[in-house]
Amino acid sequence: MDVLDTGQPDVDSALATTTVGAPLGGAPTGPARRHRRRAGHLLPYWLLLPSVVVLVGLLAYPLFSLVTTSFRRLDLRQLIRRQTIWVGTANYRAILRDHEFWVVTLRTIVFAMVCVAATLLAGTLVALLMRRLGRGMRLLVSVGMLLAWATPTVSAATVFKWLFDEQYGVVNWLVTELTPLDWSAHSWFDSKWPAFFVLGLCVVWQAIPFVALTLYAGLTSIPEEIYEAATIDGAGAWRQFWAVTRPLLRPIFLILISLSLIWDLKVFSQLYVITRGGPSRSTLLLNLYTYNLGFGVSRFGVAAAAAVIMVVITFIATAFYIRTMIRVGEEAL
Amino acid sequence: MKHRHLIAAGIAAALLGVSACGSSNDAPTGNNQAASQPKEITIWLMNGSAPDSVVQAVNKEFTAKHPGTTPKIEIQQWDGIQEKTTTALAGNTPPDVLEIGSTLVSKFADSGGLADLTGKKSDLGGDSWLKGLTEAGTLDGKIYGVPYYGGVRAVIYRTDMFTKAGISSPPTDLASFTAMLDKLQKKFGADPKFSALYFPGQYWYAALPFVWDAGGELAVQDGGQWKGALDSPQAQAGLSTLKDLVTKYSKAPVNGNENDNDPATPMGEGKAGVIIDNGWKVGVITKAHPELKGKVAVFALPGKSPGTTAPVFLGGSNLAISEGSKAPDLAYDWLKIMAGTTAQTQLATDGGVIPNSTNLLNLHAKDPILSVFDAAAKNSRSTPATPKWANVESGTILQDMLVAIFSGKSSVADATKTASEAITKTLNS
Amino acid sequence: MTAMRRPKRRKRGAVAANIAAVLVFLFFAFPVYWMASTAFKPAAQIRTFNIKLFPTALTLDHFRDAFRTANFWTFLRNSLIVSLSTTVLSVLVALLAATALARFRFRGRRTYLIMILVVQMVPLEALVIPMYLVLRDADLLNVLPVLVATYMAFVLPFTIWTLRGFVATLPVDLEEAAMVDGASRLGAFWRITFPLMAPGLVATGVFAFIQAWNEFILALTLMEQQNQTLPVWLGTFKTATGVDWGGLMAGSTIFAIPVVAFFLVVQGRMTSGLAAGAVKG
Repeated sequence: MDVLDTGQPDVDSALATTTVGAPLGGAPTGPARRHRRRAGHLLPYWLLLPSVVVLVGLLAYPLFSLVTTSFRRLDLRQLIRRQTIWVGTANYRAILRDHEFWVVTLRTIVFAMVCVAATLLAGTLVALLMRRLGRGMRLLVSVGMLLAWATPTVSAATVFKWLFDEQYGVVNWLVTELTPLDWSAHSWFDSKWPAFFVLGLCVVWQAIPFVALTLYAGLTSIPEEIYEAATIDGAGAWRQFWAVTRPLLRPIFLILISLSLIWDLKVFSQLYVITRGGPSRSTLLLNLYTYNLGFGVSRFGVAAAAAVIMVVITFIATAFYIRTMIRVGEEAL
Repeated sequence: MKHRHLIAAGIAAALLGVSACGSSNDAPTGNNQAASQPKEITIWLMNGSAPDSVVQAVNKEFTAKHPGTTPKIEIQQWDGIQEKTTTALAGNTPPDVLEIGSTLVSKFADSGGLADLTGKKSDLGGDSWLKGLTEAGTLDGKIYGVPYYGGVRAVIYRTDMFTKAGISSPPTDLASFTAMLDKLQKKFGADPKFSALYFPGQYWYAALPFVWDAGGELAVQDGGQWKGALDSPQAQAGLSTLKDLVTKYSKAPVNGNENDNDPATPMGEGKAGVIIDNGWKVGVITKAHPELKGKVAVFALPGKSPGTTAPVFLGGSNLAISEGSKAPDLAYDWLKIMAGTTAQTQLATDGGVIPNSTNLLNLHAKDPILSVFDAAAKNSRSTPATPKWANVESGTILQDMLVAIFSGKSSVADATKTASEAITKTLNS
Repeated sequence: MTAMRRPKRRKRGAVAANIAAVLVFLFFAFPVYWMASTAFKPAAQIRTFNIKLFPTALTLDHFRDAFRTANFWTFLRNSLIVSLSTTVLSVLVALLAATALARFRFRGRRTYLIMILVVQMVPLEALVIPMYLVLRDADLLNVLPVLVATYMAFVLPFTIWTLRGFVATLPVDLEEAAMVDGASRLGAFWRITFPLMAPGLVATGVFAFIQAWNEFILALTLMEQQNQTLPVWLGTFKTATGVDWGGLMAGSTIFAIPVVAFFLVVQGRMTSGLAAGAVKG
């Protein structure tokens, strides 16, 4: 019935039914309760052990090192000569006192929110579209999205920069050829907003596929009868989406928003390739700001402090979604 | 692209390599007892810097002298090179010899990552080194980076276009340079995409000659403190001159750089009258447009006063030995061969670059193109020799200033003042 | 009346949907097309003022040159080893953790969940130096399995989270029934639950593969040349003499092919896995 599910239709549809029912009801089923009685068991800890070893050894320990670094003076000289110089909170004070840091932080948050909103909106529209398409056209759309998703980020950014190039770019050429406008010398990168547009487009272009395909798979799990019933009740397309689709897919939306927000707050490769923060640092975002402090001017202690602050900001920015997500997760168990 | 014809010259190079081996019969230095010799030394060279033929000849000479040791060449990419060099020098096994872009030497020397080679200067024939590269390799009077090769920019043009525009001889001063641009603009300006001078706005290497020729400086040292000097009247005058040229004659993206908007491309397609670029771009142009072979020529960028040329930026690379090298003597021997006359001669002939010694600047005498670049190298300069200069580059201070000037977003006075303050702050932080 | 009008409207709607589908396809595929088609163009037709949507001459020069670049095969081998190991190991480790999180309620569970979300907030670029210091002190730089382990650390939070949601959707009753029939707990899991999990495993596997395949800065700084991967190799096309656009696009195309192939093979299972993983929050 579905091009995307050709792999194993039976299991998928079986799963789909489970999927819709479970998170909304939230009531634990019999078996789950039985497991809970064995809660004293050590098995879950054994199961977690391998992941904990990797995460602690190669993520938590470097994270700890990041925090300690943020209290050290660690320039190129100290890095190479292996000197440890503690400077207390000087790095943090330097960052917090930097006017540009606050400008960049605010800009990063707004940029991420706009990107997430655009991604979710476009992703939802594409998912709804896919539901209305026949098998062949749906395959076409999914293959297009898979191509975008599979392209290495750096290559994608290079191509986007090229497409919007003033002289060699296809976009200016098309506009000039197809419309009365003469954009043969139109620059996309000489001021802040057009540069942000290209940057955001590149980010969103690669973020939509994950969102759209996930939402589409979620949509297929909603039984057609619900919509038919809604149609009979006289609900229009918008009403159907708002009253049926949205609440049923709420958990999916939650996780997609949280993950997209986490990812878009640390956009790096596209920024590095397309504008590198220019013109005149007007598209500089937090991750590149931090990176410039580190590998740019080799003040790794200050860069570490900036990174720590950045994580705190991300945490605050996403706290609401994370709390909701965890709660939904807990209920489901 | 450059690689290709370098490899083509391989056979001749191999022959040269053999003779190079024959000619070197220096006695081994003291520490080279075969028993304690490492099996391998690691050498980092940058992508596209030395032709294979040169490297092989150097290795051959080295292994003839140290049969127990293999020189392992690793070609590094320009993308992420600062990151790579930083972590490698801080690591437990840094490369023994490494090529470093000339403007980055003092940064890594200052941090203690590079070995002091001051005592070896005369052994390496340092008296005849190119001044700009020597300065770049020097920090506080000590030498850390041995000049490897240089590159300078000159004005590249197409003889067929000059003939059409009725230009018979290259200009000799800035005024006649402008008159020449006028002629080109008049002849070809009907094409809205044509630039008499194609100058991407961020192209600061090509902007420096205008600053220096007008008597300006990037920064000056004053009692241990550095001070940005682009807001001096001289530097401002030079930049105003350039601004007039760029706004009048260039259709290149104001916010573009010389990589994305490579001046060689419009030149090849007849959309640029002249460009200011490196010698190897001649080969880039004729490779994409074989019909232009023999029609691409060069002249040195003229200065303000008649008969002079403007001082140009001397780019290039230095060779250094890492402080953490486990075999500094072997590393030195390899470096000495590469920086020596035989290898440098071959580098100049096979690679078409400017060799590290003024004694070798006549090697291209018969080449109408390369000889111009060699001559330009004699009147060349480098960026301020301070470890913090690299931060000015990574902070894109000069690019931002140029874009602000050419786009008209700030006046020359305001933009240079902002840039000077940023440079002062960066160099003294 | 209404009965007459409806099919007509639906038909018009279908045409509109198909047109929209084509536009969506073009939007996503065009940049990829531009990359791949450039790789086949002769040098003079790349980065030119004379823009053409379709190449008028084709050449394989850029691909030939790309395959002949120094160390390409070493980089490719490393990339395959690292990415596949990361994928398989991450999925296995994540599966264990996901099972614990989805099937058991235990002390520290909530903390663990919050932790794996929070660690995703740390930008990778900021961790390069700390990670470098840790590995330098442990004398583990330039060890290929260590690169795999670092990549695992970066992909595990997402894979664990997604798989957790997935495992939670699987019926436990079947497993329990098998256990009643005398199968061991592991045996029941292996024979009953594991096959049902294929879509979830594939979805997370693809994610892990892409992350590992694309990673640049850690491969560059933590490894020496003999252990570096294809993203580092892509830099080959940017030399001191300028960017070789044809080579760069050919390299990018070669680089993208394994991921595209992987995607197309597993796409059906992957999307349903994504949804199930997400639905469970």
